[in-house]
Amino acid sequence: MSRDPQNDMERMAALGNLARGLAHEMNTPLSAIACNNDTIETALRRIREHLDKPPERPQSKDELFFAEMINLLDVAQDSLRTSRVASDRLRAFIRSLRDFSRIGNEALEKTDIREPIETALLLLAHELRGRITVAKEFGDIAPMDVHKTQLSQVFMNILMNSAQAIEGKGEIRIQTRQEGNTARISISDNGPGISPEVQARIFEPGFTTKNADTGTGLGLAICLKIVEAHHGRIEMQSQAGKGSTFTIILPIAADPVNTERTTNG
Amino acid sequence: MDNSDSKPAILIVDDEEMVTTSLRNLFRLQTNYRTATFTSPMEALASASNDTFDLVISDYLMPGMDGITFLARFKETQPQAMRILLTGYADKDSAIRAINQVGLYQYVEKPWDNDSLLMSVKNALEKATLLRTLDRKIQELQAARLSLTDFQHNLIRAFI
Repeated sequence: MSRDPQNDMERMAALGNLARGLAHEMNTPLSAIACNNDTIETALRRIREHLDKPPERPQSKDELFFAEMINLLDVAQDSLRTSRVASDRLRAFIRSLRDFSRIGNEALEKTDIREPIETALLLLAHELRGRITVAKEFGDIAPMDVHKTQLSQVFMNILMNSAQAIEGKGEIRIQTRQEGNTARISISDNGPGISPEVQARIFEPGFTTKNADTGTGLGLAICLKIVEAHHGRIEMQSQAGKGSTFTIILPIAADPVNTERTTNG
Repeated sequence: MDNSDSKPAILIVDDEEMVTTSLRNLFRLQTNYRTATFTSPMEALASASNDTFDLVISDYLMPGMDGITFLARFKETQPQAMRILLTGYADKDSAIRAINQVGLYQYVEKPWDNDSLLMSVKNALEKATLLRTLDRKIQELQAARLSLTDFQHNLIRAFI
């Protein structure tokens, strides 16, 4: 497959955006862990100091001594608990990134379709936080044999487009439901909508309405290829002033073709 | 909370509980400050209506209300409290642009250095105390001036 310089530029921009967002997301748990390390170290040092000099302490001060020790232990314990929460957050990020990097190498995997959606949301958390409310209406869908990471990228691309379409604050609604042997995943935003001219070209390879520094990387053309490789399709509905909905429709029992070549550009 | 408590009072607001807890434990261990922590800016504002703080530390990027808006609203109720903004790297430019809007004492980047933060907080609290003292002195001076004016009027009336 020939390389398209426009696609390369978008991929680099996407990588830059992703790296910036992830750096920010990882910064918070790292800040907490660094702060707690100092706190725990200081608390333990003071406990050690107290234990090293008990003979100087008059018996009448026993109550104060134990109150101080309990206070220090409480602080250390609470700091440790917080660091554990922060470590779990970092672990989840790293797992998502690892999954994300498997593109092109991954095998078909029996997957709850909500999982790649959640991965995409986790990786986009920085883009969404404080500005976009995400409403999830996840209906049950039977597990499907899919290339999980490729679908994560599709969801991430559409979610990023939706987020960037919304100026200021807004809402993205994600709905999943099963209709017979078909899974329907709808991603709707309350942005300004897509003009008919753009709608007509939106799945064309290399087509974009964005600057190079805000490009989303894969582009909808490649998203469509991935979905088609899963024997599915993408439907789009958009109304000026009311927002847009992209619906990914996938057969639940199908054997997707290998999309390695297309997704690697 | 006890408003008569003479310990310096700090309000900490961040939508991440791991940040508010880490800061609360840091201050609990290293200082005698009284802290109140909130993960919701709205709840923090509600708390500020019946409690007085010397300093507020707020995150920038929070759902529902960003740190600048929160600090601006907090300033309306407690203008004398010092304001520190915690920012991630990606928010830095926006934070710098917004500094003048809310009269920030300082912005602190995440990840923060504990010793530097403790020093900034100590200095901010000293400034808050000085400003409160200055304000009290001005009020005392104004009261004395009014009293002197009254006395002067009474004196003039006595002689006319």
